[in-house]
Amino acid sequence: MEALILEDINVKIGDFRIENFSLSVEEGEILVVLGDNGAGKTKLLEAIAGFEKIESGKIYLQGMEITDLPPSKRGIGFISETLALFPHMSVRKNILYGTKYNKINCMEEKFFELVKIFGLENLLDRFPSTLSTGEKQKVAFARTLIVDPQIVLLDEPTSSISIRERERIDTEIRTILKKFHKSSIFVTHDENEAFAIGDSMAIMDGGKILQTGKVDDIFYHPSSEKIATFFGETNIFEGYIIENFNDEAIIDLSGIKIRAIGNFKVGTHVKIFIRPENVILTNKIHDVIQQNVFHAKVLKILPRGLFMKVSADIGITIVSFLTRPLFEEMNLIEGMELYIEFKKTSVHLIPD
Amino acid sequence: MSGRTFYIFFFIMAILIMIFILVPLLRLIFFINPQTASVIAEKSVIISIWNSISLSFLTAVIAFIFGVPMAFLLSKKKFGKVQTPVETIVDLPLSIPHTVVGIALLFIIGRKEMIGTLFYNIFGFQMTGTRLAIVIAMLFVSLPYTIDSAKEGFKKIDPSLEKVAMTLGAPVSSIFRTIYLPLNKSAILSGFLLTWARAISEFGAVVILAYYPLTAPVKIYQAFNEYNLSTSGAIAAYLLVISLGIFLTFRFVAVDRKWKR
Repeated sequence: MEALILEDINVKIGDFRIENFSLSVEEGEILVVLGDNGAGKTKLLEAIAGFEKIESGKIYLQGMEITDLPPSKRGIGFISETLALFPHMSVRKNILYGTKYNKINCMEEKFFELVKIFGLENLLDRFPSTLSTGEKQKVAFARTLIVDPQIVLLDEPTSSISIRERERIDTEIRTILKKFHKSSIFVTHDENEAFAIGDSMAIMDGGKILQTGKVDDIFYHPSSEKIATFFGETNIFEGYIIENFNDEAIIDLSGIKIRAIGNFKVGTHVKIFIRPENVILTNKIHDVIQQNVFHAKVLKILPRGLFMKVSADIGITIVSFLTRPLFEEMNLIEGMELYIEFKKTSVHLIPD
Repeated sequence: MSGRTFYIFFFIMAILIMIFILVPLLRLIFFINPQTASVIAEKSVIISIWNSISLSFLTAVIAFIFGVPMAFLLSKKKFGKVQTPVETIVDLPLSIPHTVVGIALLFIIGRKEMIGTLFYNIFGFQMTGTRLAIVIAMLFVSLPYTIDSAKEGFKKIDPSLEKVAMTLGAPVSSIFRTIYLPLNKSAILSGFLLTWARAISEFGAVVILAYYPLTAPVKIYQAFNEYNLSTSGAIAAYLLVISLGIFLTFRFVAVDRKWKR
């Protein structure tokens, strides 16, 4: 069942528009909305929470229409970028704030349960300015969860945290949301974070959704070049289908032939996407039938964090990412000749 | 110019400003001595100082009651298209000579003017020359201080606090009471003190609407005209000490900073 449905909503905020926007979040699902700054992610959340009026369209929460309800009556939890702890209230008062305005069964027990889960026992009388970011985050979650919202909206809550710490906190956030079985929408511009947290993903740009789907689906089968490049550097080529039978397509790509999975008319022009981490460098040929195999010459080697980025010439220039241990084991140097392989299933085609 | 010379130059100017402000005030305080004690003992002087302090305090209270809601609306830009005109109107009293304010108000609350007549018919006495007239004059010139200070304070409060409070179910009246007011306490207090101080010092508008009952600035002016400089100087010195005492006490006692780092 869907926890939240947005049906064809239109929002106008200043000069910015969210147009004919539809989206749904399954019960207990974490939907990540990924987009660059200015894509309208925050505005989308504000419209769902009711801070911004929508011009047309409908919003349903647990099957009930909430389009015209004020934010205080929607039953939506909101965790903002700043975490927005009330600075003049103790941790205890922050957590209990919403309990004055909501009917809560066994309030005391719930309070102590949350305090225990988040390990806040010793912080209850402290003020937010004395807490670490991680502690603040926990207080913000406890404050949101105590009123038992039907969905939690998170507006880049980790953007002020260093990347190193972000990974840990992302995992915690996911664990919390799953533990409380909360449907949620998590907004971010960081694709790594999107992978770490989301069950499914919506890519947003210029007030519109470009693609929605399961996280892996979008990653390996982006519906456009724009989305493919969202996830960092990738191989993008153009070619056309020269043969297609039994779900196998053969594509001509500037003279070289690539095998892929798909059904296309012969002659169709396609964009070809191959993730660099799926491009394998090897000294000898393995399974020729399953793979695309090419004789290659190493052009350039660049360190890229955990990976080495290797550009090679196979008639066209293709990029491969390999781990540093593998890189060292292979003794790769520029100008070296070897083989490049990638599976048919690693080739993603979009008709041009 | 090196960075060092630059700062030395600026600091010299800053020090000149401090001297400019402090020297005349310190000089004035020397009027408080055994010889001038009799001046302050005079009943009319004590009454004038009491008038000034109590009526200006009342003015600040009224300015607080009316000004804070207005400041909140302004800070949230709730006036939409007329926001800028409204802000300009609120600040008008700051740019009008105070004698002009006095005359303008006189045309409204004078014995033969609209409000003045209405008031006379209901209460049986005229507004001008009363404490009420003094408060009206003080309020007109000092209200912008409360509004501007509170407005700037409200603006500095992170709007996501309000949003989160809303999603936690709080109605706007509760959010105002539990979030905006306490977080803006120090800006409101500082607006209150500025208003109070401005009201104490008001002379131009007050002297036109109500020469009597004497406020301290009017009494000082009267003494300056009718007696001598040392009498008016003594009254001025006492007024200075009393008002400074009150403001400094308020400033340091009333602002609660325990949750700030």
